[in-house]
Amino acid sequence: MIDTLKRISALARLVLLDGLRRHALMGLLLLAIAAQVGALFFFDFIPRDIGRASSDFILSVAWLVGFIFLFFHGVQAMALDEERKVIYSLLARPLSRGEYVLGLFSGIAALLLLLNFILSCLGIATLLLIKHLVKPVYFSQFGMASYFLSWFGIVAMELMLLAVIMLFSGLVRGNFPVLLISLSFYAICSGLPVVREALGQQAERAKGLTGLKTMLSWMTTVFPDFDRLDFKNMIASSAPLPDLSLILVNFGLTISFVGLFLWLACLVYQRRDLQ
Amino acid sequence: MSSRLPLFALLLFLYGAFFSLQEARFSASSQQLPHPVPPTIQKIALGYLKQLGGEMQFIKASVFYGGVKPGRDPLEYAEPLAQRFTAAATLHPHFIDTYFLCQAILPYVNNDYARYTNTVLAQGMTALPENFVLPFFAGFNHMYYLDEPLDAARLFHLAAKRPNAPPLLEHLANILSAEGGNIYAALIGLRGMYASEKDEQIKMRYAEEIVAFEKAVTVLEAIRRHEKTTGTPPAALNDLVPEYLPVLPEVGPIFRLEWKPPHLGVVRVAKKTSPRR
Repeated sequence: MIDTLKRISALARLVLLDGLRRHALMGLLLLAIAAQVGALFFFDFIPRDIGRASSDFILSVAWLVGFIFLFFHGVQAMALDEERKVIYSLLARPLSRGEYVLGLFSGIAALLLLLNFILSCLGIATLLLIKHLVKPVYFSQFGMASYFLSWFGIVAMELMLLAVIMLFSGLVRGNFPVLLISLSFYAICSGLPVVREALGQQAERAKGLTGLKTMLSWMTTVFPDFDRLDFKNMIASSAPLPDLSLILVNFGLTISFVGLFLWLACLVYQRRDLQ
Repeated sequence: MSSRLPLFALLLFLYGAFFSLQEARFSASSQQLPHPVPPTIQKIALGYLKQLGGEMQFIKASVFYGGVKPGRDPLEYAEPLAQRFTAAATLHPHFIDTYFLCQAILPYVNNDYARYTNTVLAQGMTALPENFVLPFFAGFNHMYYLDEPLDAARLFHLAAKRPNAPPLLEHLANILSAEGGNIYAALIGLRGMYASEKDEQIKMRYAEEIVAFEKAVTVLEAIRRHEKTTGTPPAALNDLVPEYLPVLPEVGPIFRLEWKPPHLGVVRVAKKTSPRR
């Protein structure tokens, strides 16, 4: 077990260093810094709810940057190993295919965590600067706990998407099809809660929609509702944090989702024809 | 290479000419606000960015409204603006600026848009259950633009129950209840306010209003007796004298009685109404 973990962490370290060498973070960080400087101008358009708008902006930029990282770096990682024939030299060592998938996931996740850590520090500095620049009535609340909870939410969503990308990378050859399928997966995840909400309103009036409602709720087990991990509304609000039990359920679901999808990704990759 | 230089200069000149023409055409035409994509589609497309999308809708609406030339017919742009506010409130119901801007622009256009504003405000009232300003806005629209005092009273009562609401909202709700014909409820509410008020001057004001409402209640009871006897309400309040009332009571100087069969209202003498009505 310890040997397995050592092999996975060694590969993760390689992926992390390779990502840094390929400037995967540098460009995104510059983009994020430019966007966060933009937040200083953005809040000029907001007459009243400046705290809320600024925190929304900062968190949205972070999500966008993470999204770009996942779909333009994360998606390529596995396909690039095959294109550059790196996979053969890796698998020639005492490393199983499952360990390769887990190592790759861990490396990209480490890059994601590093990216989010830097962005969260930048974000907090920007928000405190904005808070300092405006009158307290326009930015009365800044919940540090809510802020970090929102970041955990973002990281959780990104890790879930990364696990899905790992599975599709094993199933499909080439990074472009993986990108398209992963984007479609995300689109369904965004659309499903909206459809469920609309159907819920209709179901109150008409009784015959119970079957469809059940089907959609089962679909949510595969296509998770990311809104449940979106806590950014609470940063500039005086409302208390949600129940600890609810937070634990949400993040527990995230961990089990990531575990399940990685398990499937390992199974699929073990049967993959690498020729 | 040198033969291509005039061609490049010509291309550059053409680009400059077309650019100037395009700029001239767009600056001459009146500013237009396009209709937004339906909020449901935006919600799906934006995902985690939907709150930012709502704020962008607000910014587009406010920037557009800031550029509207004085004297332009508001009906020309009210519809896309209203849809922008709906989109902004649907995408980000917690963002308060949308409601302030919507309230500042739409109800003034006409009664339909005053009602539309209240549907936008309703989204905010659900999302922000501790905010008293939003039900106050909606109540104001019912009171000032739509002349629906009972609906206004209901919303002012709601606003008064929210944290940090000033007591004048509860008072206004009672006054409007009486104006809408719900005189008993108004009387009970005012008596409650009188009992809990500490300021002697305000208490005196409440006492005057309570006396006026009590007089209005005697008229109301006379109307009920008239209905019971004749089966119909009186055509005019003077018809109640002397059989059902010895004399029609005077509810002034703050109020006057307004009889719109079958409803009796106690209306403020200094009532302000929208110039549109």
